[in-house]
Amino acid sequence: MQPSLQNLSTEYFTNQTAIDECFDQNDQVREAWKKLIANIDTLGAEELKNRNQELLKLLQENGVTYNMYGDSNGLNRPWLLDAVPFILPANDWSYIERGMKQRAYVLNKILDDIYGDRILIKEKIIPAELIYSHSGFLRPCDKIKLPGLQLPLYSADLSRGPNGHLWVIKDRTQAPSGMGYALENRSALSRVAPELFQQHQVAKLGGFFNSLMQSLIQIAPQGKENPRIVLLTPGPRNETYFEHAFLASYLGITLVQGEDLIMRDSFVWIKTVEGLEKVDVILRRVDDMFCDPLELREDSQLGIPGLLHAIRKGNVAVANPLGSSILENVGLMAFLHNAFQFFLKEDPIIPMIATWWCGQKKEMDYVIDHIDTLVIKGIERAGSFKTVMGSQLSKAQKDDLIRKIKFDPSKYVGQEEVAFSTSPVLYKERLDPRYTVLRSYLVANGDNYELMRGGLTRCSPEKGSFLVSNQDGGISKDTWVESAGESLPVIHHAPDMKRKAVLPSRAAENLFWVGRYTQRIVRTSRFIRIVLRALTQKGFVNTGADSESMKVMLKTVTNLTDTLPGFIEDEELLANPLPEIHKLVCQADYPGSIMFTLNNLLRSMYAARDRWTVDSWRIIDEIENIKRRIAVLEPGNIRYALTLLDQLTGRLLSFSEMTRQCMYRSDGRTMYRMGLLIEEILMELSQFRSILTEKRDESNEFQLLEALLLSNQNLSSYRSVYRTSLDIVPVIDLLFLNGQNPTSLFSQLEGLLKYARNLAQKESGVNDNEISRLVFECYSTVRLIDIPEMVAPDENGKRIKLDEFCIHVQNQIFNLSMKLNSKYFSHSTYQPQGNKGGFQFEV
Amino acid sequence: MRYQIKHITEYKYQELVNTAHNRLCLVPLNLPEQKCLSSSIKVLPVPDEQEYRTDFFGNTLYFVSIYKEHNKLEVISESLIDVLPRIQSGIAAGSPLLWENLKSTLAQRDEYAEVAQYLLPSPYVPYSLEIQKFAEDCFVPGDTLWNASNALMKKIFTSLEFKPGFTTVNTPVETVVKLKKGVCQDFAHLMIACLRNQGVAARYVSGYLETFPPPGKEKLVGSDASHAWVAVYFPGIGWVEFDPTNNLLPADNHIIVAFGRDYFDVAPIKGIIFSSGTQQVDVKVDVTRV
Repeated sequence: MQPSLQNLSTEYFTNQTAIDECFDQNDQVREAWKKLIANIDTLGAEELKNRNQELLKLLQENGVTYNMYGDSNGLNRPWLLDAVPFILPANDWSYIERGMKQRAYVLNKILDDIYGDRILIKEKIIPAELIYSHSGFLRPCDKIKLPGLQLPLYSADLSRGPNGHLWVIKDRTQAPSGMGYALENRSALSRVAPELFQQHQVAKLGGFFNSLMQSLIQIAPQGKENPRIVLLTPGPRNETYFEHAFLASYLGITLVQGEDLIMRDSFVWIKTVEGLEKVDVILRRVDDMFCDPLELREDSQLGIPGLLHAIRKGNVAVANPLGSSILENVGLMAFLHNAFQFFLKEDPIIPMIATWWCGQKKEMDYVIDHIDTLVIKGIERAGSFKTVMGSQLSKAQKDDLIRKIKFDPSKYVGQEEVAFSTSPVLYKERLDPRYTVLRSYLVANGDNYELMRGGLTRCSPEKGSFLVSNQDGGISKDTWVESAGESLPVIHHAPDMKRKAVLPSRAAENLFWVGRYTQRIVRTSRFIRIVLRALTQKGFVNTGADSESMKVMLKTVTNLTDTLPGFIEDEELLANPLPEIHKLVCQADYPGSIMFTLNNLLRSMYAARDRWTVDSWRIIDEIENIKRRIAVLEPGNIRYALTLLDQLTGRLLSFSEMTRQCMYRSDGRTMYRMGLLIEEILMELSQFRSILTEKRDESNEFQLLEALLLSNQNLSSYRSVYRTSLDIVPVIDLLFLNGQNPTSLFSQLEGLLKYARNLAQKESGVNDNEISRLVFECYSTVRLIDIPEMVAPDENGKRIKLDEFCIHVQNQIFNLSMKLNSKYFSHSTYQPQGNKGGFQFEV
Repeated sequence: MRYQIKHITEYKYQELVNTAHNRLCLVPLNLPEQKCLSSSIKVLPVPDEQEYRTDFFGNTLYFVSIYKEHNKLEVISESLIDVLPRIQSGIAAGSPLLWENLKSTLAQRDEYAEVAQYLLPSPYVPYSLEIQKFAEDCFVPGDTLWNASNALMKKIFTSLEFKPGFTTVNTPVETVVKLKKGVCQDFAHLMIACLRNQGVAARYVSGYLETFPPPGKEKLVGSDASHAWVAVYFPGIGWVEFDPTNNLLPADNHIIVAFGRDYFDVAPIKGIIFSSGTQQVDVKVDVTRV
């Protein structure tokens, strides 16, 4: 053995407890792994460790995440990928291929029967109670059929048992997850460690996804050739939301949530900025019982009321079909052998884990007698019962479990406790044997199933643990199948390319708010920096507002962040302003603070994540990093906020630039830009009102005008254009009317008008609608102002007219935002009929 | 007996509803013991989409969708029905089948593939130790299924007070046992729960009951109500009805609309409205002999 591998694997074999995928019982590298191990050797132990780090960094930057339920760290937990891939030997591969196709076919037949004639129940091949007591048996779905195979997608977890054979551990039939991660794993590993692939011909994954698209096209209603396909996600809080967004962009289909879709006239429609568009096929990642609150769970907000009606009418197809979660009933495992015989007169090629369903007396007694050696599971996947190993229970716990089983036996199974095989995982600078599970994916194509030449391999997060799930922090591996020289033609099907790309209303709303929050942070940061710099000039000592102008600036901060009362009328706070400034920057639960807005921004960015390129996502990751630093800033170190806010603004501006480039001329960009412009105008008007409405003495007015120009980034252009000392008339001319100045009110409104007219044009072919007229009205109002008249103070030194003008435009812009909201963004809330208390019967 | 039924349901919404989908389970079944001569359902505003469909249990469902703004929904269901006196209860009374043998007897029979679901928990009917305890004394070992069912009906009738306003459709049966109050669906759910907890197949019956005014008074319009009761499965005889709310065996003044595992399957009106405002509901039922 080479020295580098030795460095990594000194303790490997002493930690060995089960069969290992890579090393045989004599600690020799198995044939299929030899080339990989040689490549690792060539790379060297140190370098492999570096690549592992790089891999994690790349995934983090690309925003590859797996959300954890109940994780207080917030939405995105990075996805873990090991630098050492998992190799599936050629003989295993052909066995899996045959076995999984057979299994997929039989499960498809079972599904067909359960929602059809139920012969399996009548012939007692599957016990009636096992089906009827499972929440996945959805009666409203009875007799609904897809053309062709009933299970377009299928996946199963496989593990190698002590006898060296691969076994099926569980089936995933309603919305199998993980194939997007498999793809991402491959692309990350081949980018970071291409050396590992040398001498290998690793089968490519792309072909499988083409077949997936084919499969979805095949189920389209009336054999439509160019169907509109959408991916239905429960939303950004779902654990695999990253994957939903990733797959949607990879497949070129639209990512939607339930509220983006409606059923009307027996069809399903997507609500877009340009109106309703018909949907033909739904690839769903929402659990079936949440898909239609009218006929399934009425408390669901994730589905489409009336969906089942449209499905029955044959106007929309859903993959996998509603009701397919019945096949995830673990109790079925105990009866599949008979079902294979019934449908095929064959035994299963791949054995499955031995399972005893407690709904039968003899089996229940067996489970209770052998509880020490069995794993006890509930038949419901999302049930309240968590899988336990009998061997790990105390006497009292065991008694309690037995009581539960006896009380409602049909809800439980016992399964053999199997020592899975291990494979090497790079952990804390050395290789460690970890239990390994392979998730394999199949897709229906015509009369056949096609298997992904790869898969998602996951390893237990802790040594010796059998629990391999992403919820518990599992580590994944790229999965290699040797393609043996053959190269399958990869045909690209991009059905949505021929279709007009649509922007769902919810995505439009998210993009609009990304624009608004971005600009809100940029403007607030800029002004706070000016104030902070002025406050801390004197050697960073905490000084109060010692001048009139400083007080006005602090009050402006309060107005900009909408955190009244704040500095308004609070002499104490004005005398000691830094703690409040610190709150305004760092305190996440202070509505209006930069931190608060930043969290909102990141949430909106995340919700629209299928819209961002990898490069944009990298910037978002950097913004996250800056956020973490701002969050821990101590009040005493507030001066560092200067740098952090500077960096934050920089990143946000690059993000805007990136968005400008990658969303070129789309509805998405229009919404984003309108959000930016609306916020910009509102922030400017707020500044004008705070700073300009009162006439002050010359020196204070000078300082304030300077700050105002600085925060609008207009100070130098002012000097080059007007070449006079600071005076309110030319300042207002520059800030309000100057068409050359991109941040002038006039320029902003001009931009807004252009976008509003674009929208109107796309919607109805004319330039004019309620919204564009509203913008035009604002635009004209600004165009027609008489500056000298407006800035003339009254007898109390107040510029009432200026203030009134700003209020007027502010109101118009608020109104505009509301109109955009009601016209383009989806806000359908619904509730069950007779919701309050249900209705009473009386006799 | 021939009955004319008029069942009017009116929802009033505080805010405009722009889209509504409803599933109505209001068309009475055709059965050996009753013939539905006519049924008409009028919905206002007039639905933009409508469809009749037979559900998993054999009931007729009427789906209606409304795509225009409305602040009121009216559902007027009228039907004309001939009801024959039930004969099953008479036969069941003579059945020697012991309640504890029901499950094993049933398991041998072909209809088990269908009836098995009425032995199992359903959305409003859980397996529960409390429920088991509550009904223990009605299930005496060695007693017939008929006697046990009657004892249970009587026990529920005497333990529970009929009192509207204390429970909703979502009140669990365990709570009903503690409250000792409820309406007919609570009585029915509790009886079904007790039966299933003892391994007896029971289903929920949704329908109407003819009521009689106090002596010497005239019957008030709209004073009847939709009603719910229970059917117990006797192998070889069929479904035998029990009305625990009134402690009686339905004869010919119970009119059946639909069967299900519980209220969830056969709620007279179930729907989704697109609105976030509050709503009010008013139900009037008239059952008239003709």
